[in-house]
Formats: sequence, structure tokens, C-alpha cells
Amino acid sequence: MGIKRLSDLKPGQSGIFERCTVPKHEGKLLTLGFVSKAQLTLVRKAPFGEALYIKVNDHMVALRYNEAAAIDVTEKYNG
Amino acid sequence: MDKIKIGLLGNPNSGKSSLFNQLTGLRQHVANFPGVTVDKKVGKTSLNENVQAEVIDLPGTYSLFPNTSDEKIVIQILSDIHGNDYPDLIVYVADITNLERHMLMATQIADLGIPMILCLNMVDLVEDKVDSIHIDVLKEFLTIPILPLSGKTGKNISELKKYLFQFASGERRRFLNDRPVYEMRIDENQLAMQIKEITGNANPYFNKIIAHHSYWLSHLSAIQKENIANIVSKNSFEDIPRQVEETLKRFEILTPVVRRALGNIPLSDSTITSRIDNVNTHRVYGPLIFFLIMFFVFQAIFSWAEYPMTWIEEGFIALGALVREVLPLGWFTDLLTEGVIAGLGGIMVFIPQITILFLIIAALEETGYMSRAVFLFDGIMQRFGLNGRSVVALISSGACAIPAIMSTRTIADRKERLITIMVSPLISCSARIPVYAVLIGFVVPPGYAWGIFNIQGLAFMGLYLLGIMAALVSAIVFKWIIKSRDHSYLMMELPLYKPPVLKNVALVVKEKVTTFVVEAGKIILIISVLLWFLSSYGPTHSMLEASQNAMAKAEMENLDEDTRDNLIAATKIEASYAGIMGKWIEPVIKPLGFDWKIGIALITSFAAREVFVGTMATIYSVGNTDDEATIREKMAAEKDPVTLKPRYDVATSFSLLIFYVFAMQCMSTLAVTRRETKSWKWPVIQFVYMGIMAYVGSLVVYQVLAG
Repeated sequence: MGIKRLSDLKPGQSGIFERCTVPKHEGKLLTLGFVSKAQLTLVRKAPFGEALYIKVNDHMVALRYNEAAAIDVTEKYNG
Repeated sequence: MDKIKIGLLGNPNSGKSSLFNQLTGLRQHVANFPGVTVDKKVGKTSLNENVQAEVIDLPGTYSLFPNTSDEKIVIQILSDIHGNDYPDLIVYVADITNLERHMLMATQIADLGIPMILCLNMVDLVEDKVDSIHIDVLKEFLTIPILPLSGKTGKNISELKKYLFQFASGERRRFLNDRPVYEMRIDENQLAMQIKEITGNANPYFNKIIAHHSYWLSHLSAIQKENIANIVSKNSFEDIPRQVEETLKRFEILTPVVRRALGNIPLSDSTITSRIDNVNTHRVYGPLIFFLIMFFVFQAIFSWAEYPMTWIEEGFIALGALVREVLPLGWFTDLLTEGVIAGLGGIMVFIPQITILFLIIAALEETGYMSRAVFLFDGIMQRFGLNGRSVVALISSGACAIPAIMSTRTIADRKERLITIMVSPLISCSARIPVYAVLIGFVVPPGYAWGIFNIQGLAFMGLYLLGIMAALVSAIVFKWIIKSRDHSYLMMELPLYKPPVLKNVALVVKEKVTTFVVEAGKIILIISVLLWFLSSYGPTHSMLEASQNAMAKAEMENLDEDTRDNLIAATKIEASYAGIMGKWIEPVIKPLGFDWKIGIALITSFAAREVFVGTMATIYSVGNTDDEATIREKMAAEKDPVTLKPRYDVATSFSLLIFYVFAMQCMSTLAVTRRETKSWKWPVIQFVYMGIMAYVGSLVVYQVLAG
């Protein structure tokens, strides 16, 4: 199980939230449910690039690519 | 007993507005928080026959560590204990289906030592799981009243009012939390002790919050800020890491409590939302659905609004006629009919369109669709220096730039917001339609292309596209020019879809329309009166001479009464101050193919663009301004006095169209830009850059076509 960036997941893949590597984003992300061990799924990418549709446990959040790139996840085995 | 002040607080999407509307009903109005352009919704609620309370709807906020100007307001209010808006009691609204996240700020408020009630909103959604919910677990955690209720169905609202009444009767203790949730570190406590010397507030957490935010809090004096900054740096207190640590700690404490209270079962079900989003945010269907919705919006604005708009126009014409009949002839009656009533009519006529626009936008917002639109377009918008949230503003501009500019408040990044404000007026608004309608006839002949497409319709669409392109290109230019310290981000919740609550939508529409009428109204009214003066008065002798000449001419040619009156009106406007100004600017606009008559129309268009048609009607002495065809015929018959070619040839008309696409001819928009940017700099820049685009655009078009 390796550490990956959330932005590196393929649509449909999930990972477990480990840490945010940009302190400036951390507070905001926490309030959006990016807490330790939250299950993150990259559901899909927006049609014009950039934005990512992320499922955090049971609710949805939109992040930009660079925002997701600052989030480390441990990859779940996506059978 | 003083009237108590209740602050309604909660995360975005906590159903706070539903609860606010339940409590206050129609007894609410919108004001501004001092010094900032964040809407403050205030209402009254009755606790029993004699006791009332004031309710302030505070902006939706995630935590006491704010990201947007809306969120900052909350901190500003809660840290200014002697301020006018400081609440006696906080009613904290948390969505029970998202309780973990929504409890974060609840624990912060509890630690601030402000009396509070915790409302677990949206119980209507979890009716079937109510047995597994243990409120008592939460009550052990926070020793304050905790109440499950529903802002949508009204469940337990009466219970809430009982608590409010209890508080109003002087009971205070039971609304305070016994012990802090977050235990401050030793060094944080030391820092708080030192800051207490300045704030005089004994609550340590209050002083910690001051330490985080002192540099932008407007109620602190410069000396206080400096002293606090010194304390902060002496204690090596680091803002961001301390925020993160506190937040983490709070979640660590509250998560197990919430899980125990809710019985570890998921209360929200995202299955339906996920299914809808499979289509709505799909890379092909998503944009397709968005454009279908937009198509529907514009259909609605332009076809449904047509009848009420005609009624309003006719109503004001009738009112003017009535006033003329009742009041004696004279300048006062003229002022009333041609200045005030005509001006009011010019504002009111847009109400149907703006109502429909906001009805649809508010409904889309309520359902949760708007955040999907933001998700879809954030990427492309960013390339233009805009934000996904700019989409809403740009769409609104299709009706009117004023509500559009006001809607940019949700954009957190200053630069992106500023660019959105600057380019919104380039999107063709509905006031340009009458102008386009009159002029297109001169540029393209009626008929069909490929048998199906109305050519004039296509030209119409072309003008709209030109406006959109101009807005995007200008946005890129502003993106290069404007410097920004802010940090742009998306990080946005995509709330579960829910059916819109009619009452909420209706209240939003009412509020927006009222703001439009007041904001745009007062400016249009002032300008109308001013323009009435300029076009009715001139240097006394020349005005007199003009009407005498017209009379003489009318007599000589044996004209009937109507034609004579029209002729007098036309000669008078030529001799008036407006006419003088038109002639005065003629040298400047001549290279664009415009004469002084068009000059007058350009000047009068600053009240509102559609005034162009009315002015043209007066200048070409057409009695009925509604009849575009008649005006067009008169204009078509107009000859250039030197070359004897038609005045409104393709070159001049096209040039004039381009001018109206680009030029910033709307004082109300400039006024709103000033208000929203809090400086004269931006409206001036807006006026100048759009003016230059209009001038150069028209110059090129005229010179190419005429040459």
C-alpha cells in the first residue's frame, strides 16, 4: 500500500486520507470532512480539466487539480 | 425588558435560511453590515403576544477561521462585544445528517462563552431513524439546550421559541457551556492572558481568536492592533499551524461523541444525488444540460416577460397621460410626466425579467444545482482569470448587470471577483434589445438563410456572441494586469440535491427585486430628471426662436396638430442643452459615422440604453415611441445634408450597433460597481476601457464599411 496523491487516482479509485501537504488548505479541508482516515473517492473529472469530483466518506466535494495534488492518500486495493 | 438580539449561525447548507424564514416570515429586511457589502438579513419574531426578538441571519460559515469576506463578518461581529450587531444569544443551526462537520463551529461558539442553543436541523429527513439518535449524549458534551427540529416542516419551532422566551426572561446560565471543549495549550493560555490586558475580556478562547485575526478586525484601533501583533510575535504564536492544530483537536474530541449520539448509522443517503450527478456532471451531458437550462432561462426571460412588460409600459404611459390631464400645463407637470414617471417606467419595465431570472436562479441554487455548474466551469473560467462561480454572474448579466455584479459576493478571491465585476456589463443586457431591434433592420435585410434561419435573428445572436467574446477577452487582459495577494481556490461542498422550498425561493426573489428597484431605481430616476431638464431647456432666446420657427413652418405647410407638435418637439430638442451637447461632441463622433442627433441619443442613453429609442423618436418627431417600425421608417428617410445619401446606411448603423454592444452606458451599473468595489477607481476604469472598445470598434467598422 503506497502513498499517492489524490489527484493521481483514476476516476472510480479510492484512497484513505493521510495528510494535506499545503498548510494553507488544511483548515478549509478539515471543515469539508478531510479528516484522518476519511475515505476519499475520485468520482470523476470535470469536462474542461481542472476540477475533480471527490466523494469524502458519504458526501461530495469539488476540488481543483492542484488542491487534490496536495492531499496524500494511502491507496486502497481497488480490486 | 430590552428586546433581545438573536444571531442565527451555521455552516452553508445547514438549512439556516429555512429556519430564519420560519421564525420571521415576511417580517424581514436586508441591510448592510457596516463598512462591507455583505447582506445582513434581519427579521423579527414573536415569542409571545408581548415579547419580540430581533433575529440576524449571519452568513453561512464553516469555522471561526474564515476564508471568505462573508465568513469574516461573523468573526467581526462575534469579536466586537460592544458592537451593534453583537448577539445576546446564538441559535446555532447544524444539519443532523452532517453533524460531525457542522459541530466544529458549534464547539467554537460554545468555547467563546456566548449563550447558545444548538438546533439539529432537518430531522424530517431522518424520521425513520429517530430511535437510534441519543440527544442526551450530546447534552452531556455541551451543557446547553439542544433541540432537534425542522426548518422545512416547522417541527419543534414552537419549542425553540419557548427557549428563546426563557432566555428573554432573564434565564442565562443554562445557555452557557460548562467547560471548554478545546483545552488551550499552556503557551496559548499565556498568550491569552496578555491579550486580555488589551481586550479586557476574561474568556481565554476569545483572546486566542483575537490573536488569530487582530490584523483585519475593524473594531480594534491601530494601537491595539500593534500591541496585539507584538504579543503574538513575542510568543511566537503562528496563525495557520495553531488553527489547524485546534481544528484537528476539536474533531478528535467531537467525532466519537457525535458517532455515539447518532448510533453510528449514516443518516444521509447520497445514492440519489450520486445518480443525478452521474448525468449532471458528466463530461458530455453535464455541459449539454447546463446549456439546455440556460436556453430555458433566456426563453423564459424574453417570452414570459413580454406581456407583463407591455402592461407596465402601457400603465406608465397611461399614468403620464392622466397626470397631464389632471394637472395644469407647466414645467412641473412636464417634470413629473417626462422626468419622473418616464424614469420610473424605465425601471419598472425590467421587473418581470429580473423576477423570472431570479426565480430560476434561486430555485437552481436551492436544489444544489448551481454548485454543479461551478464544478463544470471552474476549469475553463480560470483560464480567463474568472472563477467557476462567475458563471452565475455572467448569466445574470443577460438580463441586467446590476444583480449580476451583486451576485459576485460569493467569489472569495478578490481578483476573480473584480474581473467578474469588470466584464459583466459587456454581456448584452435586456436594455440593449430595443436598440438592436431598431438598428438591425438597417444592417441586414429580412429573410432566411438556408431557408430556416431568420437572418436578422442570426445577427441578433451575433451581437450577443460579440458581447460574450469581448467579456472573455477583457477578462484575460485584466488577469494580466490586476495583481493579487489572495489565494484562489475552489474547495467547495457539493450539497445533496433537495427539492426547492417555495417560501425560500419567493423570499430571495423578493429581496433581489427590491434591491434592484432601490439601487438602480434611484440612479435612473436622478438621471431621467437631469436628462429631462437638458432636453427641455436651453438658452432662453434660442429655445424661443426654435419653437417660433417651428410654429411658422407648421403654419406655412398647413400641418395637422400632431405633426405640428412633433415638429416643435424636434426643433426644441435641437436648441436645448442636450442638442448643444450633441453638436458639441459631433466632431468626436463624426469618424464613427454619427451626427449630432445620434450624439443626443448617445448622451441620453446614459440613463438607460433603451432610452435611445425614445430619444430617436423625439428627434425624428414620431409621436408614438412604441412603434419601432415608424421610427425605423423616419430614420430610413433621413438623408445626409451634404452627400444626400441615407443617414442610416449599413456603415453608420453597424457602427452604432457595435457602439451599443461595447459602451458602458449605464450609470446604475457604475454606481453598483463603485459600491461593490468600495472605490471610484474601478467604475472609472470600467467606463474608460469599455468606452475605448466602443469607440475603436465603431471607428474600425465605419471606416472599413464606408471606405
